[in-house]
Amino acid sequence: MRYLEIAFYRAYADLKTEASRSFIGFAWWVVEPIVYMLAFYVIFELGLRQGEENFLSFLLVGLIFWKWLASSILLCTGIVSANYRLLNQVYLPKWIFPLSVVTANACKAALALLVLFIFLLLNGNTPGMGWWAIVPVILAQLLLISGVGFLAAAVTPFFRELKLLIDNGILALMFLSGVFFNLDKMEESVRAVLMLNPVAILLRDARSVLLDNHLPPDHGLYYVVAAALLMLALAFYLFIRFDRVYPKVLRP
Amino acid sequence: MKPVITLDSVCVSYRRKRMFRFRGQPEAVLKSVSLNVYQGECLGILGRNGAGKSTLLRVLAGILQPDQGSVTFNGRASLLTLQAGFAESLTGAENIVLGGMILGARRRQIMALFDDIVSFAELGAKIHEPLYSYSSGMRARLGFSVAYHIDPEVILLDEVLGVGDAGFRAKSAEAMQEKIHKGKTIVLVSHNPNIIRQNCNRAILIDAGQVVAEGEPDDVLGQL
Repeated sequence: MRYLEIAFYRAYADLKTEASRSFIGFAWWVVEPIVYMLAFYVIFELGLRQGEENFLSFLLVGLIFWKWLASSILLCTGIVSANYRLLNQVYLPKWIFPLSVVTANACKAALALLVLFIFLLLNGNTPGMGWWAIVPVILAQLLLISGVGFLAAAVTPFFRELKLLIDNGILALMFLSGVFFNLDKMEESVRAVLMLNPVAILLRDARSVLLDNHLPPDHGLYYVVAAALLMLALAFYLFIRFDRVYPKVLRP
Repeated sequence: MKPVITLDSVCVSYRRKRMFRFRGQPEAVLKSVSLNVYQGECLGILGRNGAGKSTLLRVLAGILQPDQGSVTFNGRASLLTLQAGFAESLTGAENIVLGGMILGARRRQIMALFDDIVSFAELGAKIHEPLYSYSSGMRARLGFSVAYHIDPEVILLDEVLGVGDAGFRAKSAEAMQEKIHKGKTIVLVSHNPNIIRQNCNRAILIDAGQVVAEGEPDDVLGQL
């Protein structure tokens, strides 16, 4: 219990740091995807004229969900190593660190999602009862972020090269997940392979709920949840197994 | 007397970092150290730089797990660490809560000690301002005050008997002396023979990861 308190207090400290660092503070987290979005709007809608109907909303849903996932995972990757000094001074279970990252980022994401909903309403997307289906999508995404984030945090101290790999891999994943384009328009065989990626499933489901007022088309969310739980279990196994070995590996 | 912490043939080694780091030769820092820390004693640990004193303290604090041998705890030991986990953008008051929890206290206990911590640190209303506006002297005072008031069963000390400006250094050193003389269980690492002689009732000497002498501080100091 004390450790949970520490994790949440650290999350609060992170949020406060970020808010106080720049003049616009939290707002930056909303402004950044909007700037992205404008750039891609200019390219796709005005420049290439390939944009489909409602492309702006399509892009914004993808970007907000993607940004939440990517920034959480990138921060988790180095978080145990970043705290090597503290871990050599006091005993703390190592899962505290990814937990506070995931918590702080979830708070920021909540803000961004709120802005997204407002934007969608203003843009003429009428919310139906189907919008409630976004709740399981968001929870599945939170679980997936935790799974990947905790696992990355647990493994990176032993293989530092993994951090480089994740830093670069996340860019590739962005294109493979269909943030900027609709994977449904791809050839069936390619699509089947790309849909093995849990992030692609989450983005597809979020769009189907928010933009088309449809329930997620299949049981993909179960697959996402199962994958997330598997990674989370593996991460906790590593954290417990190597609990008092981490400070040694982290020696500068 | 009852041992609070027992080390039995404890070995700790670090692997050298190489390209293929798991094939590096392990470098033994502690080689079969057996040791009891008894209730109410002040145990001094002497040794040159690199003899393994800090690693030994980290094993006693439960931070590191020995590669071989065993450690048994009959109480919570914690390294007296100043400013552990302090966050820059939090206020002094918030850092008391966070720092206190990191050192092992529950929020409730910290709130009960809150006024004492603030007045010992001599920070007054400044306590509600963010840490980044503090001078290094203020940080040292706050850090010491938090660590001092969070009272673990065994205090492990690594050469921190006085911090801050001259006035506060005397006050903090005196506060620690008082703890030592009141029969608190303390493990004290120091290069300074006088500090060991004045405060400890037992001492050990470590050299190259092994205990080479143990007994009355004066006898052990004679072997330095």
